[in-house]
Parts: sequence; C-alpha cells; structure tokens
Amino acid sequence: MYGLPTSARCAASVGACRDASRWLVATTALKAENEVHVLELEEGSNRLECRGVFAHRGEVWDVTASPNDENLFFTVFNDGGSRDAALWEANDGKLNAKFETKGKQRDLRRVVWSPEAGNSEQVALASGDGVKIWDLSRDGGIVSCATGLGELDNVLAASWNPLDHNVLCASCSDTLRCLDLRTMTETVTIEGAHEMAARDVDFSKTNQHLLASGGDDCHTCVWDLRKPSDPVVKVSSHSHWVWQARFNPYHEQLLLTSSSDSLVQLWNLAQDEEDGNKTEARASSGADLKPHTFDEHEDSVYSVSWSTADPWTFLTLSYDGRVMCNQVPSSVKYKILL
Amino acid sequence: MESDKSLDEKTQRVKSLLASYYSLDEGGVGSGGVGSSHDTPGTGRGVENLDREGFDCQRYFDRLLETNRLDELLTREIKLQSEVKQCDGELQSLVYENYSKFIAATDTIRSMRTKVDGMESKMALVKDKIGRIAEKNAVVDGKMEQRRARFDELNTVRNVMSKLNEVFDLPDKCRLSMERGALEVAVRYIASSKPFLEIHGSGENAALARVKAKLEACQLDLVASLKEKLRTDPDNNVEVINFLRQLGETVTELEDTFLSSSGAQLREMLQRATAAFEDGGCMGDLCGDEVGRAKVDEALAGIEDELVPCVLKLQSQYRGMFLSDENGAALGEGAGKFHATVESVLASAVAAAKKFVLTHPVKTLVAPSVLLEVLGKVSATFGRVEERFSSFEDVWAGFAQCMECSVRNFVGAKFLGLEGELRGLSSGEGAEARDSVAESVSAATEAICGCFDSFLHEMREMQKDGGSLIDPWKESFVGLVEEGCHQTLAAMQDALKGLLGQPGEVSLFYSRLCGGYADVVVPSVARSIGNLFVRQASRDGREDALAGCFSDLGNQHLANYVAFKGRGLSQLIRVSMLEKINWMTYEHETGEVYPVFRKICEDLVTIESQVSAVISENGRTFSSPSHAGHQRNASTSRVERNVDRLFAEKIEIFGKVEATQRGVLSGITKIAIKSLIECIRLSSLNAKAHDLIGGSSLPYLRRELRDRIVGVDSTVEFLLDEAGQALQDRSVAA
Repeated sequence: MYGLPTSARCAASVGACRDASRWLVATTALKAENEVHVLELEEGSNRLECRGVFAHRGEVWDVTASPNDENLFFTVFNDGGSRDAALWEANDGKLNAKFETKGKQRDLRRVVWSPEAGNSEQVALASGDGVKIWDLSRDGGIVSCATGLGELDNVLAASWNPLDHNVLCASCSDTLRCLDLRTMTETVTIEGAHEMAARDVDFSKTNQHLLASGGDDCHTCVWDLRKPSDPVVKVSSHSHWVWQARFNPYHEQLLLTSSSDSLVQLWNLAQDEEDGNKTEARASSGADLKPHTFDEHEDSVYSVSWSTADPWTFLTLSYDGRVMCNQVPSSVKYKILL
Repeated sequence: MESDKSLDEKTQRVKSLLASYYSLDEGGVGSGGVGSSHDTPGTGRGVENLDREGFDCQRYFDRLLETNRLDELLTREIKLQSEVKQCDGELQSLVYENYSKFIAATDTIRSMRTKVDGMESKMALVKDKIGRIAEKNAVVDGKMEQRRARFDELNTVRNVMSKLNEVFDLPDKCRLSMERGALEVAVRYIASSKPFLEIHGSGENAALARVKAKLEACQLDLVASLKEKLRTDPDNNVEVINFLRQLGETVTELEDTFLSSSGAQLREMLQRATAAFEDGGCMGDLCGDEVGRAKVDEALAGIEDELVPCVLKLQSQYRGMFLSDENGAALGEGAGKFHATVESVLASAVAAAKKFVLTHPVKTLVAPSVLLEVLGKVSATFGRVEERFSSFEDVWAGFAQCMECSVRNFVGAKFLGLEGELRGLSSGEGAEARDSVAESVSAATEAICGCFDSFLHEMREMQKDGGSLIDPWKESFVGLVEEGCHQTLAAMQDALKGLLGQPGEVSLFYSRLCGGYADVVVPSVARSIGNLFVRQASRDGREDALAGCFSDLGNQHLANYVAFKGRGLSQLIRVSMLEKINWMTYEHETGEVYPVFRKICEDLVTIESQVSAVISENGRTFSSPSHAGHQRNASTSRVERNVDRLFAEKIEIFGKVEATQRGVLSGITKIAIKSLIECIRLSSLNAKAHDLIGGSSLPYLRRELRDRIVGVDSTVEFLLDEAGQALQDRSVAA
C-alpha cells in the first residue's frame, strides 16, 4: 500500500521498464500542488517503493508512459480553464515539457501512445469532441490526422488496438466507435453498448478482435468486433459505475475492473473452461462467472494498471490517494497455467 | 439137312469174299471172312482157312494129302470145284449188279448235268423275282401299316371327341349351376375336370386351353364367391372351406383366407366398438358430456358383448377346420395362426383403450369423478375380457399399470393446469390495474393459495373416491400430490428467477410475490397437504429450503429494483450535474435549492410510498441523529482522513439490500448520492455554484432524507459528508 498526499485519479505502468514493475501515479488536486510519483514494486519485500516524485503543473487527469523510453510520459492536465496535454521528460527530479498542446486541441480527456513498436513519436489525443493523431517527430509535433468536427461526441475513453495498428476505439457516451486511422472513418459501431455512459474501453493485447468496456450502468462487457451485435461476455457485479476495465497484457481471459463502489474485481473469463480453448468458446452470457474481489479500497477506484514486467501483478488507485499493489490469486493463476 | 447148312455156309463165305474184293460193307454182301472161320473150326485154323492172307496153297495141299484119304480128297476136289464155279457165278452177278448200278448212276449224272446247266440262269431269275416280290410286299405292308394306325387313331379320337364334348360343355354348366347357387355342383364339375384339364389344357390345344381358362375363371369366381360367402356368412364356414379345399386351394391359403376374413370381420367389429375411443381420442372429450360417456359405455359393451363372443366362435371354427385331422382330433391347442389374429385384435382394442385413458389434455380436463367412473368401467370390462383370453400375456401386460398411469397422468395434467394458472397469477400482468403493488401482491398471493387449496381438496376427494383404482397405491398417490406441489412451486420459482433482470417497477411486485410464496404459499400448501392427507410430519425440511429460496429470490428482485431505481436517479443526476451545466461559469445567485435535489427527494418519496405499501416498516428512526458514526470534520486534510478511515470500521456502502423499507430506500439513496459525489468530483465549481450545492442544496437533501425518507442512516450520512468533501475539493473559490 502507498498513500498519495492528495486525491488521485490516474495511474499508468511504465512499459519501457522491462525488469521491474514500475508505475506512474499522478494526483488530481484542484487546490494543492500536484505530483507525479514513480512507484516500483520491491521484489523481495513486495512493497511499493517511491522511485521519484515530480512536481506537476495543474491537476492530472490522465497519465501514460512512453512504451520505449522510461523517462518520457504524457499527461492530460487541468491548469486552470481547459485541459491540455503535454509530453514530459523526467530529468534530475524535474519535468521538462518536450511537447505541449497549448490550446491546439481543447478539452482533452485521454492520451494513448501508438502501440507500434519503435514508433513512440505518435500519440492519439482524445478530447471531448474528437480524436487527433499527433506526429511528434515533425516540427515539434503536428496533427497527422483527425476526426471531423463534431463527428464524435463526449469521448470518455480511447484504446489503440495493439495488434491492428490501424484501429482505435473511442467510447462516446453509451456508444463504442472503432475508427480506421488510415481514413479516419468508423468501421465498427456498437450503439448503446451500455445503458449509460461507457467509462472505459480496452483492446486485448493478445486477441485483436476482443474489446472490453465498462460503464455507468455497472456492467462490464467484452465484445468480439467480428460480431458486435451482442457482447461475448456481459457481467455486472459492481454496484456503481465501472471506471476502468483492463485486459491482462499476457492472458486475455483475465480482466480487471474498478468501480466507484470501491471494489476491484478480477474476472477469469475462461474459468469454466477445462481445456486451453480459452476465450473463444466461453459462455456468452457470463452469468455464471464469479469475480475475485479486492476490497481494500474505501473510496472510488478510478484506475487499475497491470504491470508490464510481471503478468500477475497489478496496481489499483482510489480517489483518496490509496495505491494498492495486488497479485492475481494463486488459484486463478494455477487454473490458467496448468 | 447137313447139305443145306453147308450150302449156306459156302454162299456166305463167297459173298464175304466178294464184298472184301469190292470193299463193300458187310450189310450189303455179308462177311465172307467170318464164314470161313466158322466153316472149319476143327480143321486146322490158319493153315486150312482159304480166305486168310498169306494162304499157302502148297502147304494146304500137302496137308490134305497127308491127312486125307483119297476119297476124301476126291470129294474135296469136287467140292472145291463147285465152290469155284459158284464163286464165279456169284462174281458175275455181282459185277453185273454193280455195273447196272454204275450205268444208272452215269445216266443220272448225265441227265443231271444237262438239267443243271439251264437251271442256274433260271435260278437267278427266280431269285430276282422273289426279291422284287419281297420289295413290293414291304411297300404294301408299309402302306397298310399307316392306314391301320390312322384307323386306330381315328378310333381313339372318336372316343376323345365324345369326352371333349362333355368337357366343352363344362364351363357353361358350371356357370349355370353357379348362377343357380348350386355351388356344390359347380365345385364338383371343376374338381372332376381339373386333372384332365391339367394334363391337356396346357400346350398348343387352343380350344382346351380356352376351356381351361374359362373354367379357371369360373373357379376364380367360384372361389371369390365362396370367400365372399366366408365373410358374409361365417356360420357355414366349414362347408365353404371344404368346397375351397376341393377346388384345390391349399390349406395354408385357406387358412390365410379364413384368417384374413375373420380378422377383417373382427377388426371391423372392433372399429365399430372403439369408434368412441378413436373419434374422441381422449378422456378430455368427456368433459361434462353425458353423450360422450354413453359412447364410452357403448364402446365397452361392443367389445364385451360382440367382439368377444365373435372371437370365441371363430376360434372354435378355426380349431375345427385347421387344427384337427379328419377324425376331428386336435392337432395342437392354440398352435394356429388364429392366435396371432386374435392377439392383434385384442392388442389394438387394448391400445385404443390405453390411448384413450392415458391422454389428458390440460385444456379439457374432466372432473375427477368422471375420470374415476370411466376408468372403473374400462378397467372392469377389460378385466373380464382378460379372464377369457388370459393366455395373451403380452396383450395384458401393463394394462393394470396403465390405469394407474392414467390417474398419474391426470394428476400431472392437473398440476400442469395449476402451474399455468399460477404463472398467469405470478406474471404481474394486471398488477398495474390495481391501485398499488401491495394490493396486487396480496391479491395474487391469495389467489395462488386459493388455487392450491381447491386443487388439494380435489385431489383429496379423488383419493377418497378412488376405490380399486387408487387404493392399492394410496400412499404413492399422496407422494405424487406432494411431489407435484413441490415441483410446481419449484417451477414457479424458476419462472420468477427467469424474470430477474426485468427492468422496471415490476421487480418490486416480483420481489414481494416471492415473499408471499415464501411466507404464505409454501407453508399453506404444506399445511393443507398435512391436514388433508393426514401426513406424518416427517418432512425433510424441503419446505423450509423452498421458502428460503423464494425469500432469496425476493431479495434478488428487490436488489434489482433498487439498482433500477438507483440507475434512474443516477442518470438524472448525471445529466443535470454534468452535461447540462458548466459549474465554472455558474452565475445565478439564489439561496434556492438546485432543482435536481428536489427532484431526487420527490422521486425518493414516490419510491417510499410504493415500497412502504408492500414492505412493512422495519428499523427506520426519524429521531435526531446521533453523531456517533462517521461524523467527521470536513476541513481535515486527506492524509488525516485516510488515517481516520484506517482506524474506523469499514463502511459498506453497497451492502446487501435488506428486505425492509429502510433497506430499499437507503440502497437507492446511496446509489444516488454516490453518483452525485462522482459528478461533483468530475466538475470544478465556482463560488456561486459551491454556494448553490453546498450552501442550500446538500443541506436540503440531508434534511429531507433524514426527516422524511431514510431516517437516520450512518452510511447515507457518511456519503453526504463525502459529497460535502468533494464539493470542498472541487470548488475553486473555497
């Protein structure tokens, strides 16, 4: 457990750091100094250790670490008025802005790095009314392509398909829209994916067709984009809004959800399957699935993040600044491994 | 005398000498040698025998001179001389004789030679002529032979023709006798002519073949009419069968004919009898219908009074005809194929009856009394039939059980009907028509209990009146009813479970209905069963488990209701707090409450009125709050608050929803306030907005909740504090 001094909403694992489980957590305090903490899981003691604290201008609403450089990360922050995004380089205990949107794209919500290996110069910035792809390598950052004006409405989250780099999915209110980035047109649209707003979307890292979403209707859904009419799995065990739903980067049957009912739930979507034919053939209803629940938090859990170094470790962050690092229970682990 | 003797002797010797000279045989001339030996037996044989070979004349003479005196010599000389003379004479006659013979022979030969020379050509001529004669003779003979054969043939033909005439007339005669009904005569005609026609009717003789064909046609007609007679006039079967036998129908064929004709007869009879079974098809058609019952009676009577005697009669006929030899001795009891026919007829009778009694359509279920009456009759009738045909074990196997099955099926159908009724009552349809959910729930519960009660009474009556149909398995019957009730209740539970997740207020109805099942219906059913069937209270707690399940299900529906209502309020709050307004630019300066807070309270009051009507009051206190719980100083820092939380008892915001007014209301309220908190946390507020929410709206909400809706609820209080805190956090000015 680790405590942040103020309230916090966002955490991200540092993908470039391969030999240790490292995360960035940032605070969201309107009236206090905001910080970005670098936390690392101490292998022996299994404790979260702070590897660095950087003062950050404005309250941070989203943070994403570069997949290639462990010192680079993007934040979406509110520095009075509109929300901007900036690329920071952590150096000597200070943050240097390498790129800032500075009003070039307003009301930013999320930032997503390109999943293309070695292409850390491309990011997708999602704002309330659209998605823009920025190419940072040219002229200090230019928009390489963008959705049309007013084409998207109330974008709450976005996920870039790590296996099909041309596809990005954005959740717009209760609808999930998949965009083909070559033409910036919608390829798959799931209208009314949730009864209320869809808070988060996440592509599976191991199956290019699977997409998870969580929403204010307390449901978590897994969609197969080949047949998007109905969710492959629909579970609802949370009593309040589902804020994040995240696939394990190595095992697609593991899905982590966090909710404002202060619970974190780990779903083994293939838990009824005896053999290795995991997610493809599972029961579509998900009615029989039972999650493993983590209830150490006492306030809304806004962020969950899998470690990129260890497939069984994840970090959770609640609004009160409590950071927890948990392991996949061995029963679940052995069910998958054996 | 002596002289005669010596003379004979002397001629004999001469002849013999001559004969030897001419080499004649003794018969012709006599043997001179023998005579000489006989001549002088005493006078020195050898020396004295003049006829012997090597006769020594000198010696003979010397000897004579020595021995004989002169006179004797002289006599000897004279005698010899005479003898020589006689010999010469005889020689001459002999020569002559032979010569004349020779001449005659020569003449004969000569004439023969001349004659034979011409004869040879004549002989050839004769031979030739004889040959020709023989030829001619053969020709004549051959010609005569053909004629003779033809004559014989014609003779035969004449005979045959007369017979044929007779034969050609046969078909007409036969037809005539058939037309006149003298089947016996017709049968005789055909039977007697058959061997003849069998031999001659085939082949190239067209006329006979025609006759044969005609007769065969006749026979066919005859056989057909006989068979028809067999069907129409079963009383004379034996005679008809005998006729058919004479007509050469094989016994198996006849047997088959008899079997098929009697089978058809029986089946027709059966069909007539079971028409009521077949037409109606099942018990359900007797629903309060006297005519229908009369039909069943008729059917049963048909089986017992017509079919059975007919079967017996045919059976005895069959035995007489096919199962006995000429002397009437039985060849084997029941070995015939008739057995199979009877069995199949009885089996279809039983099958029709079984089908009739086993089917109970839920829609047209008869009253138990009717069922018992009809079943009793069927069972009794077939029982009597069974006694007569007890050997058909396969047919009767399971018939008795079938009656029990029918009762069981009936009870099952009753249960099905009951279940349908209950489904209708439990579906919540028409619940809106009533003034309140409470009314609909109590009405539904009452109706369900009523259904069960009347059902159980009916079953009890049935058990009482069951008689021989139910008595043997009385205990199982009670078990059946009991199990059926349990299953029906379980089915209702499944049905209600299937309705889980249905959005809307009907969840509340389901929830309370589940409660009604748990608290009223299940115990009442158990009680009724116990009372009516005088059951020992050896229950295995199944009712309790069932009631528990219903109760759980009710809670799930309630949670569903809470979630549904909570989501509604959440949506309301989200739209008005996040989407419609930018709190940073809020300008109105009023001390009023933000309308959404009023709306929340109004909605909660409405919900409360709904809920309070259905769920009894439990645990709400409206007294002034005690500040023991999680009352905190709002100005404390986050770290302090975190530490505070660590040491405080953890608060379950979204725990299990209790089936109380308070539980439901606080559940919905908590979801609403939590959404409010989230909305505030997502916003930034200016001073005026902060005043609006924190200054008037939140206190209003707290007051309303505490005084009118949930009463004092620590979790709600805590959440309201959290909302206040969030407001503090997100307010720019504060």
